[in-house]
Amino acid sequence: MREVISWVAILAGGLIVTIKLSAFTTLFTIAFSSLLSLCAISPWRPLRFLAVLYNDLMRSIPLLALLIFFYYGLGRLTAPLGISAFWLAVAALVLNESAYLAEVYRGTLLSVPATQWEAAASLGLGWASTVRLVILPQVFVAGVPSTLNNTIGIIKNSSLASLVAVNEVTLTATILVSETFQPMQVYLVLAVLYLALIVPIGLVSRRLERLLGAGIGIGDLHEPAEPRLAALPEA
Amino acid sequence: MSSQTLVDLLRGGVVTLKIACGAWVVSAVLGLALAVLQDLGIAPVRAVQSSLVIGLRSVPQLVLLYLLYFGLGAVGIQVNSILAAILALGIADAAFSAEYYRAGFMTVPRTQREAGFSLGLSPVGVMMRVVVPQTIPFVVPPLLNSFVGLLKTATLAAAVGAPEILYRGQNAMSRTGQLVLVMTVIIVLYVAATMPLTRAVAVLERRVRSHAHG
Amino acid sequence: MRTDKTIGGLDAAAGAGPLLEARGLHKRFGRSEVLHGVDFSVRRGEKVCIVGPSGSGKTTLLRCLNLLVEPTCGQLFYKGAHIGEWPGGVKVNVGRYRSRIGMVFQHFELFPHLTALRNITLGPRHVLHEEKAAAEKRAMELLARVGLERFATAHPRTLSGGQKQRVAIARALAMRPDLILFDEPTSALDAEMVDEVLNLMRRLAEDGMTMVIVTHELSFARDVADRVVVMEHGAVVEEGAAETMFSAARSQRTRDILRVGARR
Repeated sequence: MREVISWVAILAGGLIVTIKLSAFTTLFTIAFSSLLSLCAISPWRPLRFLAVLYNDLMRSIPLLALLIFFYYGLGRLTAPLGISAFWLAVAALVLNESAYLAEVYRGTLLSVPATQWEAAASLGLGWASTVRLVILPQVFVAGVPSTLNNTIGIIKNSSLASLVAVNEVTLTATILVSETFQPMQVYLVLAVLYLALIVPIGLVSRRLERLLGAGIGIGDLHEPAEPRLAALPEA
Repeated sequence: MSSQTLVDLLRGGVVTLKIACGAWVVSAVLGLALAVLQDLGIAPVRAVQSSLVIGLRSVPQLVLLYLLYFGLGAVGIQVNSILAAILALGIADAAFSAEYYRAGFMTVPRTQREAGFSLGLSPVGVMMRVVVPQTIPFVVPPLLNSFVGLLKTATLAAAVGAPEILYRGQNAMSRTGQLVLVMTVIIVLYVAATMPLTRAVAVLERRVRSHAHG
Repeated sequence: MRTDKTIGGLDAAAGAGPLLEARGLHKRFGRSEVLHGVDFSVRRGEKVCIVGPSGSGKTTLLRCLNLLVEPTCGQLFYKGAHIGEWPGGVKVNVGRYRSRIGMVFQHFELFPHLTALRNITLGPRHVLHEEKAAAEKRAMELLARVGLERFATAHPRTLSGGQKQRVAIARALAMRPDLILFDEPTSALDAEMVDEVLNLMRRLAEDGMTMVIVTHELSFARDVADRVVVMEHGAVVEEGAAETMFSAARSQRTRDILRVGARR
């Protein structure tokens, strides 16, 4: 037992790197995939084509291949600039994960009926204002569970960064194994750490999904609940 | 690039394909078992089953792979790297396959089950003879999608030294120094393998849906 | 950025000509042509009802007028100025053009994430760039005008169909449009809510609003319309002053369409 505690202490250092890696990746992935998904539904054909091409291409490349390419290929160019393996891994993860999340976001954006776009257009709103004022506010909350699920994927995939010299928790565990020669025990502890990180996010995501599925409208989360005015007698 | 390198990469591709196919079978079979167990709804089984699914979904495939390859190896069960990859990726993926089956089961009206029971079939009999067969059109597209996913995650086997495409690619890179070229070949091979498959699945999905609604 | 709220030089007085005029509109969706050369115009202050069986192209015509649908062929004039010509394209800023023309949809299309008040102020604030306070003051006046001032902070999902449509009309009015297009404004309503919307539209008509109304409510058309346009199979069958159309239409088909509808 004492052994396990000492392992956890060692692994904690790596876990912090894992959390940092996942947090930065999540942040940039949300930004980039929002941009990609908007490009994919934009009225400008070339932009749409590029976004769809990017998503299709990126989703057919294994993440590990991208990580290795960035580390061994770009690494030579970026090392003199002081860009570490950590940031190369963030870049590869973001480029890859964004293609998946962008597809999810695109579906979410398309879930708004076309007539809402028309209603905005009939007021004279342009594309950008329609997106900002009418479309995004309607899908913002609906996008949260899928974003959380994507974060879970990012945390899991961040373990691949151990193969390109990022000293996150899986690499820390592998080093620990080489010292203790107890792979079964150490990797089990590692698995438990991942569970501890991911299960709460999964629970929140599922709870939210159920709330949204149960018809908690956007209005409820935007503003304090209104009394059911429809029940009042007509003025 | 020498033809030697290209042949080497293609050989690696065959190993990758083998791992993906193996893992896919494991995932499809184990996923079905998990989904049926949950559907039968025996409380203790269901508790074990759902925590298993949560566990499998929360642990990185790489960690499962290390557990099966290094972990089992250390307790005296030697598994070769390819088999370890097949099992690890297949088991991890089964958690997702189970979900596809479960969603498929829900498309079968309750009255279909009742009709099965009225013939005297057992709960397992109803599942296997009435529900599952009707579910197949709905689970084939997502299962094919997960095969595309497995083709990509099969590269993780490189981490335990399985001679799949990325492993050989890395060797070729350090041997020849032609990093960009090797990488481009790998990417082209992947795009050529997965893009048509993805497209085909999308078409199939649409057809299944229109069939179900039509 | 230009601050005037008009389209090019189109703020000039309309003069004697029509406010909005479409010539020879064709619209093709893939293989099927839903409009085959429709001429249509509306004068300032005029109330025009477009009637006809479903699938006759009424709604498409209406959508062509504010360019939600671009015609395949034809010309569009607004206050005598060229808005667009097809094949070819739009010659003006579409957003600015649409901001002059209100539209009321069959299914209301209120923005579900906004309160009734915010639905109404959205256009004035973000298209006309009005001050928040001024836009809200006017929105409250409009809500009062449609009889819903107590529902300013209500979200659309808490409103009945009739209330939603009245808010939607207030939203269109808030832009101070030159005319309003109504696309079957009562078709999606339960029977008991139809009148509250039609009565509001009657009041708008009395106030002199220019209105183009696609509708199946023939008694409303008879009461309110100056002119009735009967469409079928993507073409205008007959048009004329409301009283002549209902009493002495030339074509048998027109008489059938107007009678069948009237019985409903």
